[in-house]
Amino acid sequence: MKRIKRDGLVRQFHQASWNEPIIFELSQPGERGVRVSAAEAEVQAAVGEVNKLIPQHMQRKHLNLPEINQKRVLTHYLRLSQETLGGDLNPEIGQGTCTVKYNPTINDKLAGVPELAGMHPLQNPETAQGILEIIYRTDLMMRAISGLDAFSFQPGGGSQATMTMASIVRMFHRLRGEEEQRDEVITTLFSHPSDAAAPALKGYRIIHIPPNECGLPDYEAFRAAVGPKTAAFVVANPEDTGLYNPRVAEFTKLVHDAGGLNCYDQANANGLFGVARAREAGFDMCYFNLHKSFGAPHGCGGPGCGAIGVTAALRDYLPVPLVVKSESGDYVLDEDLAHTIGKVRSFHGTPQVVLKSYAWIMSLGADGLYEVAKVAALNNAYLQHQLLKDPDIDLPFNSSLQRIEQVRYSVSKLTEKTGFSSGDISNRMMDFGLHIWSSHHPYYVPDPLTLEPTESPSRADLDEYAATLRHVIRECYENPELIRTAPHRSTIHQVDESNLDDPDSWCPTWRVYLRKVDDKK
Amino acid sequence: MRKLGLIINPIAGMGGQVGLKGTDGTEILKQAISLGAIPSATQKAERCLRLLVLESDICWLTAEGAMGEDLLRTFGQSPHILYPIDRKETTAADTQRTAELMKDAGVELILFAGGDGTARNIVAVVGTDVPVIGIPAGVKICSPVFGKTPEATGQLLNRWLKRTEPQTILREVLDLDEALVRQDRIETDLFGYLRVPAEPDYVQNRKAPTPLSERDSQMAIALDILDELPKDYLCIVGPGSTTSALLQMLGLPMTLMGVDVIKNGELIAKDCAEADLLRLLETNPAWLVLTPTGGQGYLLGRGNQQISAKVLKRLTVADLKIVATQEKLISLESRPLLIDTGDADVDNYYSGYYRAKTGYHNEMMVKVKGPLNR
Repeated sequence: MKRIKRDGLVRQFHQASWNEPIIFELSQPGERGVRVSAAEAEVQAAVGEVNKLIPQHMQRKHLNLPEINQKRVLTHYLRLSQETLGGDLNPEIGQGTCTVKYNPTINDKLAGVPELAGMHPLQNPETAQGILEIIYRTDLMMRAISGLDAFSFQPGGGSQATMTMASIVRMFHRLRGEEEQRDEVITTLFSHPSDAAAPALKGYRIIHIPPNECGLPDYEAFRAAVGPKTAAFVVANPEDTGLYNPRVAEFTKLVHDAGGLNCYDQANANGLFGVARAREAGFDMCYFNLHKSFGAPHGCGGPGCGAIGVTAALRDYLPVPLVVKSESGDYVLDEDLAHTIGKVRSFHGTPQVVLKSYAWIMSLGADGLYEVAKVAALNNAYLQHQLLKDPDIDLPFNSSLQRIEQVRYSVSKLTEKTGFSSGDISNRMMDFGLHIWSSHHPYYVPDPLTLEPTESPSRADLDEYAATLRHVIRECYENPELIRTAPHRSTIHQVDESNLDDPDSWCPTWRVYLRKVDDKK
Repeated sequence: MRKLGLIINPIAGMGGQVGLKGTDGTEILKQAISLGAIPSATQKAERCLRLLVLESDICWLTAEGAMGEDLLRTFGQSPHILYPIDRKETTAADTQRTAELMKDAGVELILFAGGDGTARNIVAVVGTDVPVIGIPAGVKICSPVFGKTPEATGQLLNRWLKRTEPQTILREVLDLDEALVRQDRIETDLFGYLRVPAEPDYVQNRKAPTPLSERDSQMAIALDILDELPKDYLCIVGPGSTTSALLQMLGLPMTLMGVDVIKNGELIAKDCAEADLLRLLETNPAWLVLTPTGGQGYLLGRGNQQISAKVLKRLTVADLKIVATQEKLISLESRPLLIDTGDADVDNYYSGYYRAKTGYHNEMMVKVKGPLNR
């Protein structure tokens, strides 16, 4: 196999591979992590029969949980942790659209202090003034950043926030007697797929606007789509291409004139802090993913926060409760919103994430936020400049339009010459500890690479990334076998993708897996 | 042993080298050779095979000499010769006969090097019975049945052959009328459907790996139409795999290349001619369900001429329902869908923005306009 000399910037890397089974497969009947002692007689007498404390419908005769000893559990999760990569290990530049930035560890520590971690969501608000004040103050800061008038932190992520927006849209039109008539939601092809999926789940017909030759939403197609059936326009801007639609206010005006509402997907607002706001662009509501732009970790689909903000006219539609400040200066819960859509998540959502974002914003201040946007855009422009030196990397659409905080590149020239797609490049980048995530849906741009550096990486990080990508492209020409069989030094090698698009073959949980195996028998 | 077929159309691409827009017919071939054209299809097939991992459990079936045998031998293979050729020059009939024999021999896939004309020859005898993939080597590559490049075709096959459950999708075989192209008129027509490997990254005309498989998307579109179709309306179903999902959903026999009519869930006319449609429209309101062809994106006037200007005059813009998977529309790169009924008034009337159905309650705005050449 031909060896290609590496640029000094290209890292030597090898990831652990433990071939670790799924935890359910490790289960041994009767094995225990902890044997719980019987309660003392006084306690038993005071509590009574435990089974009677648990509602009938929640009682189970059999628990389908793995039975494993403590050591094996610890080993299992340590091995899994070695088999992952993440923002703390490498610059996550290849996670375009995800805005994976540095999340200060000190803020994690803050969220874990016993005073917060030990709280119960049902405890008296008088005893929870600290965290309520933080939620209240974060709301005020979000208002300043967006230009909107009230925020709820209940949604646990971006898709749930989009779902909340769609619920508000439905309630708004219901109260105006137009719910039946307005059954369409318009979005754009380059907005996040959840901007279509969440309103679809609320029963709306979805209309996609394709891009024009510049890569921006086609205004004429949009105008033809808007009408008396329009319930709302749900859109990201900049879109996943990194392009900002400068005519967005004309789009939102068309929707308002037709009686619809405008919803802004600002999951990623990283390039816009201090530059542009939802209100001035004509939006009635927006949401920010605190776990993207606002310095809180993503948590692997775990608790995040899609902070949703609305204009004053829509405040009463927000999920309850909201945190408000009473005349006496106390922070209290306002459950009394006239048109509330109810709850989208239990209690207050994820206050720990709000706390982390509050700490992050306070450490930067208003000028610091503006600096974040500038550095994120500068890093993106620098990486773009470095990458476009390679003749196999292209900027699709109008190359003179500035990409804001991320870029969707195309390597179609490389594919034409070598037969390797961006998927093959992603596989090989794993051998250098670097991701290129496949967040390019729909594949409008051929052979896409979506890269978003954020403000976090240093110039050295960006240079390493660019040098590694160039090295892999060179390998495509000089050592095709190496690319075809990559990754070689990653935990998992190539995956058979047959039926990946067939829901019948998906097993998101062990329970589903067992059921499907049974069905097959 | 896994059996794979290889057909090289040695003359493919020769007309293009000397500006002849194609190599269909022996006269044009002679002209091309006299102008100095040299065979290049074998070279392109060689570029593909060079990247192909030639596992030892693969048995190649091919035709004698330049149609496959020679190249396979240079790669150290010992192909099984299905079809002997004792002439120097090969014809379309040779391609057809070889493909037919491959089908009978039960090959897993036919790999061919050629252009749209070669694909047309193969689809005529193979239909959708055998998976087929083309190495782009011809002058005309309009049909989305080719890898993007010879190298990409090789990588595509590497992936596909490794799959435990390799999937295929139906793709149109389109061909230009070479005589018209030489007069600078671009006219494609639909000649059938081939089953090509479903490896979205590599096929001609970029494809979008959608969360749903193409089949599921087509079924979702069919459900949307069937849910919305008013009672007692005719549903005139144009050619194509997306439209035919409607009939499949109802458990009715389908005509992939023809026009069928359903009403209240029953098939009332099959493979209709213009006169059949005109007669049915005399007494019934109707929806017309059409899907664009790949390549140029023709909605009307190519492969569905029975839906004539006369038929269209009996319908309105509101009756026209465009259906297409998002992947298909994306492959057209935001270009307008084309109509060419031969009647400028009808073309103009049906021009404008439409909502193409791309899934259940899912639509994409598309622009429809008259023919490019007018």
